[in-house]
Amino acid sequence: MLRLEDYSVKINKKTIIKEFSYEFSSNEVYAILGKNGSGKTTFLKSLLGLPEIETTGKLFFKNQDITNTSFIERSEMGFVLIFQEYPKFDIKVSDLFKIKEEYVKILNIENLINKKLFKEMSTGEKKRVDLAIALSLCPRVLLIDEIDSGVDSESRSLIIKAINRFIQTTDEYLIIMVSHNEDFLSNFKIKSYLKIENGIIYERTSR
Amino acid sequence: MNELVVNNNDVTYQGNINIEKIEKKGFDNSFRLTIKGEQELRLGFNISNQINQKIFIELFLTKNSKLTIKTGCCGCALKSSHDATFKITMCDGSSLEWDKSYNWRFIDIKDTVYYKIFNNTNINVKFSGLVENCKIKEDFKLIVHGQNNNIKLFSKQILKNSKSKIIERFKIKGNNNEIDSKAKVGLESSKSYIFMFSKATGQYNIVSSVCEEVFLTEDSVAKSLPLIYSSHGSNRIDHEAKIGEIEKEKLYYLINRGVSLDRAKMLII
Repeated sequence: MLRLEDYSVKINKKTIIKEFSYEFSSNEVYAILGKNGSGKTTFLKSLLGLPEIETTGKLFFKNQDITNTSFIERSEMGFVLIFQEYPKFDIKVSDLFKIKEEYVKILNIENLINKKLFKEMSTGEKKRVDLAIALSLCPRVLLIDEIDSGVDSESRSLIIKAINRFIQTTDEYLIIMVSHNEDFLSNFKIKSYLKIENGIIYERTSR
Repeated sequence: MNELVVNNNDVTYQGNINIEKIEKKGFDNSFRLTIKGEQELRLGFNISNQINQKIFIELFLTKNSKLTIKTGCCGCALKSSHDATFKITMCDGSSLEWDKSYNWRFIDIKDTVYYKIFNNTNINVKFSGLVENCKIKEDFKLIVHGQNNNIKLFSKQILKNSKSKIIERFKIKGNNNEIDSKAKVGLESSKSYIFMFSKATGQYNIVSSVCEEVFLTEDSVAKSLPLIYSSHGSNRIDHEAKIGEIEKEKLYYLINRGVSLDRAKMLII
């Protein structure tokens, strides 16, 4: 579904990922591991096509070369990134987004969608609201960046339930998930664990 | 609901507000509306043909009346112009809520609003618009004759290949008035000029004005000029000018969540 050929990532002229070639299959979940600062977030942002991140090599989505597509075009193709930071806006969640009822219920956000976007919300609440917004968009490539960090156990279990619901009910998807917590990752059927170390991404053979 | 619609130069009105056609030199259509009690008015302006639309509307808010206006303006017509002038008189205890949104392309626009304000009034005006390949001028002139008025004016423009002028002039002759004015402009290959003039000859007035120009592209130019005059030490007049870039994290977030680029800019700026 997503193929990388000699894919390198640079930010501010510093190489983060060196010549990575890999094929991510559809309807699978992949985990990205690595120490803080190893480049996990930058790698996800590069797949989304954020302009400040420079890439070389090739990127194919469903066998179509999307190397030179913009961030806006990739967003329109269904690339959705769950960011680690949540910007605040002066608009109510429900006034801006149409969230699917099933995710409102699973993530227990009935009371939160009437609040202003990411204002007066705890970390767990922000992550639940944003996940509901993201899943309601029916993403094709869902990039999840440390959604489990800083959340309580109740929010974590709701997040796991919602992602698994998305997996069960979506015809075609790819999930690439960054996390430090292997217990959290064990709640999903992970196709492969990829580790970033010194700019090299390699497939870990065992957990 | 009262509704006044100007479709190119064809004007239709329905409702129960007292409206009379008046003569005003230089304008194709001129009306005077007298507001009594509590009223809502929907105003629509549309240009789709190659015309010059010139309209003058006088709003007279009688004592203790309340008017809510929703204005929607849109148009895309090369070599066309829209010139709307409002003259608003606020009698004692009256109140005005005005929410205006516009979306103009390839049109020269001139919006002029004159306010004449007496005592104990409340004004809350929000103008926001998307402008592409236009020349736009917003001119607000506000004269406060009386006291204890509370006035909030907010103007927001997102400009693309356009030139904009925002002129705000406040003259406060009375005492104990509060004016809060903000103008925000987002510039994409555009030029903007904001002039804010505050003059207080009364006492114990508070005037706060902010202009903020946000660069969406580097080939934009922004200028702002504040002028402040106070004849008495009890007046407090502040002006703040900000120039910056759009917060990219906010833009990325909204676009990646399916919000259109134009709407995202409107929400951020």
